[in-house]
Amino acid sequence: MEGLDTEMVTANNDDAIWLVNGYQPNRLAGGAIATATATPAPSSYPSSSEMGLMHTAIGNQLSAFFTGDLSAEDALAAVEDEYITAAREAGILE
Amino acid sequence: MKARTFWTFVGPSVFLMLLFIAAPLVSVFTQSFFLSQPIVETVEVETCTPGFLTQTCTTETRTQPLLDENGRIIRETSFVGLQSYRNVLEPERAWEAISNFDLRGLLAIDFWKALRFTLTFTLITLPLVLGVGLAIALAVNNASKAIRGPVIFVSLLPFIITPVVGALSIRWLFGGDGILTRALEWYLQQDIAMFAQAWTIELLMLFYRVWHVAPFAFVIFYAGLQTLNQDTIEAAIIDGASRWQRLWAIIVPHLMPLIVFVSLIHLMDCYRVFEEIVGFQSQAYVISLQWLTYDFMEPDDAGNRAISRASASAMLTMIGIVILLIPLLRRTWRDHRGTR
Repeated sequence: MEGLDTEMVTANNDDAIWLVNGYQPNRLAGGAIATATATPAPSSYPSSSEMGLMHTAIGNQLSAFFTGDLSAEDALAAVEDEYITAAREAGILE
Repeated sequence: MKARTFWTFVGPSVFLMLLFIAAPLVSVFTQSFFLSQPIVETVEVETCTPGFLTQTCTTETRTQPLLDENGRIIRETSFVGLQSYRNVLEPERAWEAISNFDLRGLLAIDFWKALRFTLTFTLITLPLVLGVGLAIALAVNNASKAIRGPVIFVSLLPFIITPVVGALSIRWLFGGDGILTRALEWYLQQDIAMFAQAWTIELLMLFYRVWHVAPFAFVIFYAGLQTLNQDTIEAAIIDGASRWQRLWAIIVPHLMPLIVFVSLIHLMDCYRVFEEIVGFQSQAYVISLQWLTYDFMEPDDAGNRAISRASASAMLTMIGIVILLIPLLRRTWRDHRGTR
């Protein structure tokens, strides 16, 4: 591939984190490399239907807590209720 | 009129009403008793990252819908009876709150919160719309002929404005840095946040709805005033009846069928309050029944539309309107039978 070679990487070393031979990691690359090599691997944010339903329930019900209508416990109970209803309807929860 | 002519004129309208009102209603009614859901399976999936430095693989259990040979999600529809209504009304939670006299707990349930607002909104705006409409009609009727045209035009303007645009303009006028909020703050020398608590939002909504609908009542009442028998009024003046007595003894009884008509239309419209919620973006504080139905219809973050709950909520809204209309309809029915 034209351009993706060691010569180009040494010329533009600090512009990106390169996956090309000849790259010398600098200070700014530390975070990305630490994440990639961590064992056990950091868990990725789950994009499951359960998570989607939970987001919706939280989004709908927590506003009552922020506006002071409900205590934190009651708002969380409302979140739980809405999640259970929605998950049953989505066929995820028996 | 000949039966043939009658049906030629009425037929298309009946057909369209069946197609666009009756058919969707039947469909919504049936959908509220059925639940359509995808068949899901739980599988273990191994996902591997690209080989950045080293390849890392993780296994996780994932719930995913079953697909048929064309790659479409397999759905099954089952009869669930009143379960969707139960999900909307949450009777156990509501009953527990009612038996503990816990109003806050009751209003924490979306449906009851929406019902509380919808009912107060409808019942407070009704007399205001009738009163303001009648007041404008009487004022215009008594105004001199020269200015009557422009006055009618100006009074009708709010009715012509698109509801969502009207609601938006109120929000922009009274919002955080809105010009009217600024003016009030300058005048009262204190901070005002009209959209930071429920009751001020509701006040603005009431104001907006009355401002928007009063012209409709005005037009109807103004037309009604044109047919008022002037001899009766003159006789009343000669008998020494005050303005107030004339209003209550002659004008209001004369307009009564129109008042009932405006009330019917207003109750039907108002119970479906929706533009205010969207225009004012008041979902965190105030919601209405119609907005609740809309919220069920909107795909949630998992991409599901709660069609069954939306249908149940729509049916409940319709039942609510019918209950509100019963007294007025009974009255109209009695009058109708009386005149025949």
